[in-house]
Amino acid sequence: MRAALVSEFRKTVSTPLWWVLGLTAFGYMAMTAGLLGFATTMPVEQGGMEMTGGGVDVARSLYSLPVSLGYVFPLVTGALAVTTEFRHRTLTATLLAEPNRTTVIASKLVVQGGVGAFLGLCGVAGAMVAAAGALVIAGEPTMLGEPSVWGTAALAVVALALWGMVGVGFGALVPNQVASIVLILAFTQLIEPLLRIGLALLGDGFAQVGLYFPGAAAEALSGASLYSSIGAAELLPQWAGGVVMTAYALGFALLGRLLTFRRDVT
Amino acid sequence: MPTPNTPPGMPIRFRGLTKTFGPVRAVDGVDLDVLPGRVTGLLGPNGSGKTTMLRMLLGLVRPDAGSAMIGDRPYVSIPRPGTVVGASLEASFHPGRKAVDHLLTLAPAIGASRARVDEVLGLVGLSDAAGRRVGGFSLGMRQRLGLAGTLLGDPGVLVLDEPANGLDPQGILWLRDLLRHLAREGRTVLVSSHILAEVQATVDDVAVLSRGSLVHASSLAEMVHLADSHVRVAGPDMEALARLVTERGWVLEDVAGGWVVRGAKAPEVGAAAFAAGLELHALESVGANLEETFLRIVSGEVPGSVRALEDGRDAAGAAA
Repeated sequence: MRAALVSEFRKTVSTPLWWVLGLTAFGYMAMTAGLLGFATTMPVEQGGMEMTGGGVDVARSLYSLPVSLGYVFPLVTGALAVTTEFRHRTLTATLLAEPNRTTVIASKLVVQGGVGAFLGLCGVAGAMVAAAGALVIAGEPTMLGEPSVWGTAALAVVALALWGMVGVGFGALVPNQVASIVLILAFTQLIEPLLRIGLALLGDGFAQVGLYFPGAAAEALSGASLYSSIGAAELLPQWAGGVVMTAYALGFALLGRLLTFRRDVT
Repeated sequence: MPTPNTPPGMPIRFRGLTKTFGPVRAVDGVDLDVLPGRVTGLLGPNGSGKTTMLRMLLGLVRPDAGSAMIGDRPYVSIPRPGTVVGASLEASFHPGRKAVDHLLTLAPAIGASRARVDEVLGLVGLSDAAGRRVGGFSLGMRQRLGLAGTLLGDPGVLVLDEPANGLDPQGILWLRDLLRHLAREGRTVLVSSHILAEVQATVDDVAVLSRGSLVHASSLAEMVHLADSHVRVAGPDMEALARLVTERGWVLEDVAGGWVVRGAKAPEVGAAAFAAGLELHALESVGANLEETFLRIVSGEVPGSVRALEDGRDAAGAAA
């Protein structure tokens, strides 16, 4: 297992994807959190989006923005870790080095969890720098002295680590690279947000279902949500959010192992 | 001569190996032993089942029936298989990864050091390209990189699918010398090819697949005997020579610009002509066309003979 982990780690850091995405996550989150930071300081009447709950909650929502808007980075990276093996036909060499296919998937889960944490760190760093900067410029408190703000930021990193693992599981289940990425983008960028807002509008019973979507569970884990800040949904307890995310990662990985990775590699 | 620290070559044993893909019987009950100390060529046209056979050997494709063992165990139950078997099935790499990084991703499972990675890169002549991304490599360079990966663990068994594919003539010569050297050290070397000429000068043993079945297995020397050799003759009295040839049960044919005797070797024809007091102006053995024989075995025109490759063992095999 150790050898497989080292091998997976070297695979990840020997192509430029990881640092390109790290920079992109930092920049994208900085830009978005900076803009939202200014917006939260503006009253609604002046075109802003003054958030509910007051200073600490607003700061937590801003600093953990990658959980709401940046999780697609680790998710796609995790999926790519599996699908590139099929696309570039390197799975043969991988399985020759490590014939145990469960070990191969497990090592990818672990390493991509780490990559997800790295991308989470980049995104959270970008969000914190830009949002805190915006708050300072607007003359609002940054709340960086509050331990709960840092706790949320740390859990946001954990949530993105889990997103990386969900990506591996999904890639194992849908190894076709194009199909995998299209499904991920369609679900995360369109279907889940629409469903979460839609279900919330339909009433309590339906809203409960929305809590178990991976995006909602990840936000629950970090304890702050863009959606709940704008009043669109409640969240699961933090621990339950972590459990649901882990279940998605392991569930997809297990299905992928049983359905896709059992096949002949021709 | 085997060096003291050369890992032992082990026999590869296929027994009743069978695989069906949909309606196609890709590999059909193949029995074959591949021996250490020799280079064995697994030959057959595209689609004859060579790659499927090798993939079953390496645990990538599950056989419907039969088994493929390396020594006394299947590939997937060998601990650290890369130290026992060096296998290269396709020259496929991530295009964004540097050659040296590709080998470094394989190294942990084998326990190979960074120094060993540099060493095998040198061995296959890629030292200068080590830091380049594989996306810019020619097919020949990819083949060399694939080969470097198989050598990383200094394995006693090498399994290479179409290793000469994409190599220039110089590269084929280089590959021949390398594989022959590895076999001389006592290793088991199994290479597949769809072109006999590519490996003709490399292999000791040949196994020929056609439509999934093993149609011929012998030493290369024995296959040469199967080849249809003939003797070119010329003389002042061709009518008398024709009568003599018919008497002996051979065949005289008029081919473009001359006569050839089929079914006999040059010394036999010469001796018969001498005994009959016939004058000969030309007596020349025309080399067997092995490639043609191979193709005729594949097409079923010439019956191949499947025999245990042990029969062809010589001192080199015994040394292992």
